Parts: sequence; structure tokens; C-alpha cells
Amino acid sequence: MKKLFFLATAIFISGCTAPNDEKIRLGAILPLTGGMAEMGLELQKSLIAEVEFLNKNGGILERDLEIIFEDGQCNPGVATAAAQKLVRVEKVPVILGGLCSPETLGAAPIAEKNRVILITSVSGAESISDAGDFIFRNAPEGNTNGQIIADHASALGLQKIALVNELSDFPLSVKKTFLENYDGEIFEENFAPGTMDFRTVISKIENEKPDALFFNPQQNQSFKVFLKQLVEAQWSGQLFFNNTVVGNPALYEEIEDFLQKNDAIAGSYDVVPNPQQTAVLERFETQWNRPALFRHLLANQHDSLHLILAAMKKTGDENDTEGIRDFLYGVENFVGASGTFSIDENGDAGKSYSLVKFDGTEFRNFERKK
Amino acid sequence: MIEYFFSLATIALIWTIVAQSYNLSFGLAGLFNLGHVIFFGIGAYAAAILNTRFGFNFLENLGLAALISGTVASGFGILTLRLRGHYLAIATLGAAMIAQVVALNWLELTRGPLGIRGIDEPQIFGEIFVGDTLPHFLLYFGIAATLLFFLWKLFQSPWGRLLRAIRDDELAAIAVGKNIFAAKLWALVLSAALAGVAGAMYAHYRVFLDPSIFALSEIILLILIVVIGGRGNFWGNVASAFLIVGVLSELPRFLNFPETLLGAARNIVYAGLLIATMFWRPRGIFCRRKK
Amino acid sequence: MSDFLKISRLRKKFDGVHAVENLNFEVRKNSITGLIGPNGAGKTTVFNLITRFLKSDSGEIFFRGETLKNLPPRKIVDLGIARTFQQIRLWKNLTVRENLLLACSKKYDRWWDCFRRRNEADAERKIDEILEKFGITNLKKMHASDLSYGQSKLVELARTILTDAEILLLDEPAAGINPTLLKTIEKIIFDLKKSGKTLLVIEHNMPFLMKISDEIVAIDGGKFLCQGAPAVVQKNPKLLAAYLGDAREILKSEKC
Repeated sequence: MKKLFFLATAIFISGCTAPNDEKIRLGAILPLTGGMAEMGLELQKSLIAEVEFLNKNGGILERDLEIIFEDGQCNPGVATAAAQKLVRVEKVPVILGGLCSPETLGAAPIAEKNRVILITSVSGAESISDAGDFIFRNAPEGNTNGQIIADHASALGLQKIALVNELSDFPLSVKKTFLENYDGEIFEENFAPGTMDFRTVISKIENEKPDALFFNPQQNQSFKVFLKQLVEAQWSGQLFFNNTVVGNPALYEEIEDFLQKNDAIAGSYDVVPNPQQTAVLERFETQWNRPALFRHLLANQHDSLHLILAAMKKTGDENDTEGIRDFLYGVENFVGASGTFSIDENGDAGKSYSLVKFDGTEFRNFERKK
Repeated sequence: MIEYFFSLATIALIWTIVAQSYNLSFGLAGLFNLGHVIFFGIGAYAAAILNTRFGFNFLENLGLAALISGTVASGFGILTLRLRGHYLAIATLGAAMIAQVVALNWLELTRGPLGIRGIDEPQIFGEIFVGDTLPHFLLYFGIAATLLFFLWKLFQSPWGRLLRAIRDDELAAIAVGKNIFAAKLWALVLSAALAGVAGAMYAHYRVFLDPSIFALSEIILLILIVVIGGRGNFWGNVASAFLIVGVLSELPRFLNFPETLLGAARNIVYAGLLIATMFWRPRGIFCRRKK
Repeated sequence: MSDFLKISRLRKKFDGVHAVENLNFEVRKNSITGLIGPNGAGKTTVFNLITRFLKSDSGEIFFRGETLKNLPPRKIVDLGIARTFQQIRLWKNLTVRENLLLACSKKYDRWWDCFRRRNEADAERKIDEILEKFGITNLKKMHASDLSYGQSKLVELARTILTDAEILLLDEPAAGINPTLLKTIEKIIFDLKKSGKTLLVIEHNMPFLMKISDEIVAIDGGKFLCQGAPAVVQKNPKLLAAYLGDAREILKSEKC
């Protein structure tokens, strides 16, 4: 028994990486395992490609950049433990992440308490806006996703919509504002993450004869399964989706015609191509020998990273987190891969969703109907 | 760096209370209750809601969490304690899953997956105990030590002896005139109340709570701790809780595993430990093998 | 009161089979009454019904004139009826001392008693006394799982006695034990009678049972056969017929 204890302690201590004065070390918390890992791993790969590129071109403050990745598993307990390690042991001044709101909200108290910058490029929960002085969000608030669909649905004159929600944080915040802003009739069904059989739900919906179906998932897997069963049921009618299904072409395989026929529209980030964005995607493709998924998220994350680096350049000291914080609050009209944006007094980039429509291959920009 | 150890140790202390409370009902009394994590979760949510919505403070919440969890357990016990073995296991497992669904769906009460944030850190007589500092650790250590002392006294008592007898052979206990239903019910209620207190401690430490507290993985972790520590073995469970939650759960982060394997790595470590225990020390790694 | 323990028109059915059928008999106070019958006659079922481990379908059981109907099994012990089991039921993970302590009293059975200053000296004394009487003081600290069959039997008997019951129902106390131990148990039973206890004993060991019993009750197929002094009962033709399949037993009893 004693032997086991000493062995564990030895391994524990040996694994503690000593701070390397040579490199600038940042932390990142992403779901690298679990239901959201596809997105998390893509964001990780993008960061790796960015860091490679930066280091090849002089690094930052004349030093190389290193990112320490920790798995958040979309779980606040795990994300908290990850943040503890990054903050207390690795002593990073900045954490990029989380991806899911529970991750961000779990890690935020640790970051805030220790005056470590936490900047999420994806999480949409409303409460992140007052999670702390050192907590920033470079993403739209999730609930506005619901609003934009609601507005469009009203503009189209749709009287009745079937709303199918996954019981996870993002879909629920989307649902909330959708319900607040849509003035027609709503038929609602909820499902637990990991549900594999939607046939009962679909047949209930068919009985209701709605004008449109708004599918509101969190995991890409849910989309895959639901759509397959919707196709089997020979659904016909306007389809709406939230942001999570955008940017992953593998999801639309074999159902391109179905999506197009039913005017599939989603709420997503502005995906206006620009040179910075193109460069990010090229670097990804060079590094990983394939095109990137979730391009809008990658663009956001790229900008978050560069905001941090710009702040560090200004302060001259990567550990001056107060200086970085002040810089971030002062950001106005930053031109990045995700477009031009400013950061408000809550630490939010004030980004908004726009509508994208499925064009046979992907979801692309589409004008909003007012 | 010391704060990191405090963070691990604080979580380990909380889980030690939960595990030991489970050891009381599952280990000592032999109640095959797979849903014990419900009481931990109810205590945590009770504290979170009472604090963020009604302004109850840390100490009040410890008491209220115990009361609420204990009351739920008494209702639960009256319904299920007449069931034996596998039936009780399935009923309690079902209850745990229902608890998760309720936490996910009852948005007005629990805010569902959005979770409850902004729970106050412990405040006693105006003094705020900030997490991962020495005063906070000492506070939690003190509470844990008190609760564990209480549990230890229960284990050593004639009532504890009665529970062990009931676990061994209920009929024989009835044959000497014991009220086994009352004994089992109290075992369940006390173990739930203590798990509720641990839940409140958890909420006030993490300051953010979401329904993942009711997940199946938490149930399994609890069973693992008690099986490895040895059913009914008091010190064994203290040690196994610290070992598993304090050391092994975060060890993979330090082993330079590829980060993508963290989730799997932890489960591999747990599974390995469980298998090793079953082979070499089936009554718990801290139990000497029977002669 | 002549009917100390009275079984009245007792009925119990299992899956269509009458385990006990309209059974009537009495046990006198301070007597040793044997309960015999072939295998499957319903003897242990009678014990289960008296101790309320099983609920009867109809009929009643009276103890000191009071009915035992609707009482939970643990209350039966409180009233003064205790039993041993056909398959010994000791708590294997507890020591002999703990096994016996549990029978001694209910004084500290509640969880809040863990905070009270406890005085179990009385109980300890009683335990020491009975262990000495049985000649097994050396077993006190042993785990029940480490005991031999004979030792376990003695400990279970000791535990039953320590409940301070007035009536003891012994289910095959002589089964599977050597002649020396049998003598010990015989003495214990006689001593119990001397101290005022009443015993109802199920046994297949006829010589032993005939020796210790004041009266015998015989049943078969759940039905009453006969009741009377041992010498009389063992010659009863109905009883002999019931035991026809077990000729050796009948021969043995004729030797006595």
C-alpha cells in the first residue's frame, strides 16, 4: 500500500512540467473526448496549426508560443479540474476556452479568482457576460440564435412551428429566445442527449402539421440520427437549425437534396470570407492535409488568440494579466478572420448571428428578412 | 502550487464524506442502493437554490441540505426498503436516472443544463472563506473530520453491529427480536443526510452546479470507492476516496498522456484498480486477506 | 393455564399444497414437547407460523391466552417466544461475542445511542456465564465463520437462550452432531426446563427426543396425528404407518 502511494506521488511530481522561461505558455480547455469532441478536436488542431505558423515567423515577444491543452469533456467538474491544473500548476496567464458553456462556467471562477484571462470563442450562455472581470467571450450569445430564426419565421408568415430541443445548455438558451420572439403557434418536443430514436417524435410532429420544423440540437450525432429518420418519414416543409450543425459537411452527406428541397436555414456566425479567414483555413489544410470543419468557430478562435497576442505585445509582459484585461476591454473595431468587432463592458464581442441557407453543399450566407 | 493540492484535497474530502455515508448504507447495512448519488445531488441543488434565490448562508445550507436529503430518503426508504437485493438495486438506479431527468427538465427550479452559477463561497460570521486557501481547506477539513467522527462512532456502536448483522442475515436478526426495518431506514436516512451535507459543501466550493452531478459516471465512481475500500471498512473507505478522487482521477493529466485519451485513461486506471482488487484483495485493498 | 401455547385450526397453503391443514395441539407450560413427523410433514412450517415468519391462511395461535395474529415476527420475540433454525443462522462476519450481544438486549439499538455512555457489563456477564456453562468460553473472540458445525450449533442455542424467551422452539438441535456434544445439549435442555423454560423441539433423532420429552406431538402432511407421552405415541399405528418409509427409525425407537 505504501509502495502504491509513493509510486503515485512520484509519477505525479514527474508529470508536473516545470515552467519553461523560454516559451510563452497559454492554456486551452476543450472537449477532447465525449459527445462534442469532434468540434473540440477541430479547434485544437486549428490552434496547433496557428502556433506552428506563429513560431516559424518569429513567435511572440521574440519567444516561441506553446499551448497546453486540457480536456474539459463539456463537463463543469472536469473543466474546473482542468482550470485548476492550468492555473495553479502550469501557471498560464491566459486560457482559451471552454467550448461548451458548462466548461466555461466551471472554469471561470478559478480563472477569475486567480486573475487569469479566460476567453471563449464558442460558449453562448447568457451568464458568461457577468462571469467576471477576466472572463471574455468572442462569440455571439447563444440565445440570439433563437431570436434570428424567430424573426425570420415571423417574416415568412409561418403560423405553426414544431420545435425539437436537445436537453443541453446551448439548445435551451436558443429555445428560450425563440419562444420569446416567435408569435405563432409552437409544438415542442425535448430529447435527452444521446437519443437514437426520434420516430415517435417525428410522427407526433407530422400529426400536428406544422408549417416548419426547427431542429435544435447540441451534438452533431443527434442531427445525423434525426435527419436520417426525418428523411425516412418523408418530411416535407421548411427546416430550421441552430448553429451547431453548420460547418461540418460530413453531416449533410446523402441528404443534400432533402435539405435543399426543404429550404434548410440555420442561424450561424457571419461567414463572410476575408483574407485572414482564408489564410487560417489554408494553414489548417497544410498542417492536417484536409479542409477544416466548423470554419466559423475556427475564425473566432483565431481572433481570440490574436487579440491575446496583441495585448501581450502592448503590455510587453505576458504575465501582466491586468494589462491584457484592460487592453481587451478597450478593443474597438478589431479586424479579424471572423469580421470586424469590438468588445463591450461585459467582455463580450457583441457578435450576432446571421442566417445561412443550405446551397446543396454547405450552409452559406443569406439575407435576413426584416 | 499548494493551492492545487488544496483543490484536490477539498474535492477528496467531500467525496470521502459521500463515500463513507454510502459505506454506511451499502457497506455496513448491506442496502443495495445504487442511487446514493441522488442525495449528494439533492443536497448540492438545495444549497445552490437556497443560496442564490433565498440568500441562505453556508452553515444554514449544511443543515437544510441534510434535512432535505434525509427527508427524501425517508420517503424513498419507506417505498423501497421492503424490496430485496436486485429489486432494490434496480429501483434505486431508476430513481437516480429520474433525478437527472428532473434536474435537466425542471427549468424553473434548477435552470436545467444552464446550471446555477454564482453560489456564494462559505461565509461564517462575516468572514469569507475563499476556495483553495488554507482557511478554506481547514474549514472543510474540520467539517469533514466532524462528520467522519460521527460516522465512525456509528460504525463502532451497537447499532452499527446490528446493521452488520442485518447485512449478514436479516432473518436471524428478526429471530432475536430486532426491528430491522427501522434500523435500515435510519441507515438510509442518515447516509442520505450526510451525503446531502457533502453536496452543500460541494456547491459552495464549486460555486457552479449543473445536472452532470447526477450522471451515471458519478454513481459508478461511488461504488468503485466503496468496493475498493472494502464494504463496511471505515478507514479503508477514507483511504480509497482520497486515493481515487484525490490522486488517481487527476493523475492521467500529469502522465503526459495525449490529451485526447484523458477520458479513457481515467476509466482505464479505475478499471485496472478494480480488477486488481477483485483478484488480490476482494474484500477491499485495505483488508487483510482472510486466513 | 394449561394451554400455554395453543395451536388452533391452523391452515397454510403453498401453491395449492396444504403445508399445514386444520392443525390443533397444545404445549404445556414448563414442558419439553417433541414435534415429530416424516420429512415434509410441515414441522418447520409450524415453527414459521408460530414465530410469524409466515402468515397463516386461517386459524390462530394463542400464547398465554393472547392471540399472535397480526403481530410482526420481532414482536413474537418480545412476547417470549424464540427459535433456532434448521440451517444454523449465525452472523458469520461477527464474532461469537457479537452474535450473543445482539440477542442480549435492545437497550442501545438506536443510532443515537452511539453518543450515550453505555454499560454492557450485564450483557457481558450473561454471555460469559452461558459460554462457560456450554464449555465454549474459548470461542468468545472467534468469528462465527471459523466455528465448526457443532460449535455453531451451541452458539446459536446460546443466542436463542439469551433472548430470555419463555418458550424456546428448537429446530433439530441434535442434527449432525457427535454423541458427546449430544450429551451436552441434552443437559442444556434439561437445565432449561429446570429453570422454568418451556421447549418445543423438532427432531428426527428419536432416541434422543423420546428421552428428553414429556410429550410428543406427531403430524403428517400438515395434519395432526396424535399427541401423548412418548411411550404411547411411538406405538401409535397411524404414526407407524406414516413412518413406514423409514423402517430404521421405527426399529431404533422400539429398542428404547
